[in-house]
Amino acid sequence: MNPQPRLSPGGSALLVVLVLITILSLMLGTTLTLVRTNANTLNQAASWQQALAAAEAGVQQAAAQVQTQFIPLLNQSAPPDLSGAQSGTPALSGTLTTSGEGNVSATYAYVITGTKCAVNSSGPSTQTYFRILSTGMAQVAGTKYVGLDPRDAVVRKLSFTSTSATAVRQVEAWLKPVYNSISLPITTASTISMNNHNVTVDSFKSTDPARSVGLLKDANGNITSYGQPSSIAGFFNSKSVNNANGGTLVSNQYLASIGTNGQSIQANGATVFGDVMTNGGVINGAQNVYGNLRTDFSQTLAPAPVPGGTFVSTSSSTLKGGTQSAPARYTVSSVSLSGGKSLVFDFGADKTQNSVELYITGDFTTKGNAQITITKGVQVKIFVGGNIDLGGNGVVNNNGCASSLSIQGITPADGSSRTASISGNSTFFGTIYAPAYDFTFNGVPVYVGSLVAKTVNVMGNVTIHFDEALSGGLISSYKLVGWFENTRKVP
Amino acid sequence: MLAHSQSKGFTLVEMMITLSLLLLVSAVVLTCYIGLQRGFAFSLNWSESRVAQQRVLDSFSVDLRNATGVVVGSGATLLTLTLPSRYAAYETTGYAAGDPQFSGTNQLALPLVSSTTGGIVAVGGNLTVVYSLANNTVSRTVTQSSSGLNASRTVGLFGGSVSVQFKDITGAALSGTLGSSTDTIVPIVITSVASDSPTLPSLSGTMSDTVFLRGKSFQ
Repeated sequence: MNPQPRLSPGGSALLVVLVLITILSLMLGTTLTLVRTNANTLNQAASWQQALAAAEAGVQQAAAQVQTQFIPLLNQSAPPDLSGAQSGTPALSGTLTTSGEGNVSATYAYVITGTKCAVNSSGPSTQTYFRILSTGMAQVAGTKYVGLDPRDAVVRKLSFTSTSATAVRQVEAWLKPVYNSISLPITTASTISMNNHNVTVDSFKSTDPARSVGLLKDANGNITSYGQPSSIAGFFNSKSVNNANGGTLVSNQYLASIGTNGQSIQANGATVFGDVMTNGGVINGAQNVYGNLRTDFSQTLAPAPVPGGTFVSTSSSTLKGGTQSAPARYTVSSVSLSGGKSLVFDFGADKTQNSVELYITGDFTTKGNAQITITKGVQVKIFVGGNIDLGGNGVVNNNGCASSLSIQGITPADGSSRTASISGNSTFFGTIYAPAYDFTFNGVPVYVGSLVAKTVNVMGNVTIHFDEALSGGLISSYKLVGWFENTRKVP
Repeated sequence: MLAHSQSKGFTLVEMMITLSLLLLVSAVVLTCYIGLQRGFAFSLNWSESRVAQQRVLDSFSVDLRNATGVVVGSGATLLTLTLPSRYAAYETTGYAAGDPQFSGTNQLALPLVSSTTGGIVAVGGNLTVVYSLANNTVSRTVTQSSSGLNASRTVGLFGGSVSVQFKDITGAALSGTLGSSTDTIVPIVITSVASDSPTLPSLSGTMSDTVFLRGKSFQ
């Protein structure tokens, strides 16, 4: 017997299995493709956003570097020229790390470039701006193949290399110096206290005939006599509508605001033609405040630094000026004038030599009939390391202009306290910047200019005229005034 | 006598059962396959629609953050933006039309400082960027009058309907010129609703992004 082999049904089973495997493979393939597409999309978008976060982190770090490293340099009496690319610590780069699935690290690198810019509206005529160019880079997680719509690569400017895909974004930011040290009649770090309703704080603009009295100009438009608040002429307050020249004062603009970073202002009925501002604090006796009562004040008061440059010791009672670009610099251990003694700031060889700087390492005191005299046309800066007490005839500033005299009370390195007071008989024209000083007014009739101190205590019938034309002073901070994303593909 | 063959074929009943089972299995597999393919197609469309939405929002956000003038339009015009021109040349065709030309010397130009505000002022004139929506397609057109530039590209192409709304943070619709009269920084919430297919509106998806416009003096 030779039986025929029985046909096995296993052949059709194999066919069925193969068909099923093919179908399942197709399903698996399409599913994986979809998953990969979604994953790539997410990775690409996430990396692109992460690159921006990294670039902006670079801007923030650069801005912090400008605040901490460059402001002290620029606030020196003889500031260095910071034009061009800058370097320093911390390193001009960093890394952002993330965690979780598909995490990648993003890095940033930035360049800070200083540029001197001519600005007419505020601050010195030439100011140092900083340009920050920060580049953020983030790897695209997964493979370097991101097979999506080409439009996505256009929007995100992804860079592909043989080994990786990288999202690169670049942000350009500009920082502008803010000279807030003399932007208000009174600014303090802690408190302001006025003793009675006879204290007045108002403002005028010595370069604007619409907001001042007696402003005179020559045929070329140059100011020959600065304007004054009309109370000096006998009738002014900020509510007046007519000035001495027959013009109209802009009476509804109350710009004589006082502010403190602290929590207390005792107005005590004082008349203030501006806002009264604390940093979340309390204002008492504000019935004669013409502006608003605010609690949102916060202003960085940069420490007043020891002046840079070379100062020459002197014992002369007349200090001659140098040029604006090379001021005459003198230093003394202290100034204590009494009796009929005087200290005169005068021109040098000619009237182009009109700039004098005096560094007093110790105390600065005038009493009795003693006085400081500033010749008209001479610009004076006085740096004081000790206490300040301006009594007697005080400072006679013949410029009649607050911008011609700057007194800076140097912030002690050891954090110790300093005091300053004005009790002289003459009208004070000038600015005082002493953020570490406890300042007291003792019956000075008129103070024209601005004042920055740790605390201010007004004792007496003081009138403070803030000159809105004041500009310059120390840089307290840098403000972001430009932000632009470079949409060109970074190679 | 010939020996009776021991081999035997399938009976008719066996064949019918086998074929029935085979048909049944095939029908199930085919149904599943078609369903899965449909699902895959829907998912792919949905995914592409969301990707396109994301691309549109990202394009909006980049341009809005760089813009110095923003006007929310009506009808087919979604947005009209004023962008400072900072480059010497721009791409005119292709997917990158309207973007800075990718060439070795076309670097970011330095701006100027305003003598009146102290802010930064771009040089080289302004670009006008118009986003428009027509035929379920979001387009971006860049023009510059000084150079005659006129470059347009498709940002998002949708299989189904698409709409874009611009709202403030309270949900109120924004219209007209934004952020030009004050120095207040204006937040703008962009919401896009898009479906992948006109026949499946239930698969529409919503995406939002928030962009802060710069203040007036913040050039």
